[in-house]
Amino acid sequence: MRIAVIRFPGSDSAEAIAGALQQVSQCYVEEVWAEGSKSVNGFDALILPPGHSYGDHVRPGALAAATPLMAEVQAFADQGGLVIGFGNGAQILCEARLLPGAFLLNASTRFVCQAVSLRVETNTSALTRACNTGEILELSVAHKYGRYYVEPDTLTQLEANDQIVFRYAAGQGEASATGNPNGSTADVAGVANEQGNVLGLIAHPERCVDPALASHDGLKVFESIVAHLQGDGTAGRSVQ
Amino acid sequence: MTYEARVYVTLKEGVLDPEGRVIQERLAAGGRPHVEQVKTGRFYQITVTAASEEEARAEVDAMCRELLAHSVTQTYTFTLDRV
Repeated sequence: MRIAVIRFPGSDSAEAIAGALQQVSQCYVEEVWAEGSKSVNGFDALILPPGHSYGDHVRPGALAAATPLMAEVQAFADQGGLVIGFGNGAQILCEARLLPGAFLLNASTRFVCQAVSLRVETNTSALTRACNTGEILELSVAHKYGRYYVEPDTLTQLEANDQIVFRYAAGQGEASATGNPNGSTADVAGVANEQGNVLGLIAHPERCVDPALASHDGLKVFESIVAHLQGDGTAGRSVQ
Repeated sequence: MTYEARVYVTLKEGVLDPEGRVIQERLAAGGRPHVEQVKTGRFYQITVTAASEEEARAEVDAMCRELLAHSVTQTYTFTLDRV
């Protein structure tokens, strides 16, 4: 199993993601430098890490989405390859239009760094196969632009197609100190494309993998990715 | 020929602008209660060379669609002047 973590200028946590994957599997993880690489061929999955790619200029993820390598990522996804983004990686995927919707300035206008309880909305996705639907994962967020926004029609489609992967568990559909930390539409924290092979999660599972910490629920996300890849390799939602 | 575009990117109607809301609230609290709404956005001044104004306009429009404005949340306008 070969997984690439694509590092852009300003990305971080690539090592943490590689470490988490290797904590739950024997997979080979390679860091791919976005500015020097022309191809993403030969990998079973691509992960876009958190951080502040290209300084978050224009909008977080916008300049990374416009790089030539992201055209290769798009082609990889178009062929059914698994592409995952955490934090800024999820923002990049929305900016590249590989995921529906967009991430906006938090409703509070503030940077938030806190623990969050996320509810697994479906356990057929590549991020949640090792979980039960309805299970609560304790993860963390750290962002200023984490307010997920989709138009009402798109939200209806996402719900009908089972594309919402995680929601803020205590959310009431609007920003709150204990539930929805940023004002995301319908408490959405993680989303998939229609085919289920591109997934974004604004939270940071890679920061919750050490048993010494209060939560290591992030491991379940990485176990899910590995379980998905060890399946038949098709999009998560098509494999029950 | 050289052209200068002045691009304005704003949030679409109906998309919450929390920064604008805070500014409006602070203006009102600071003695300007008649300020009903503040909308924030981004301004880009872009200099391009093109064979014609039409070509320059098409080029700037493409940049706006592909990078400067996100079609789900933002809208844009621009002016173009030969310099």
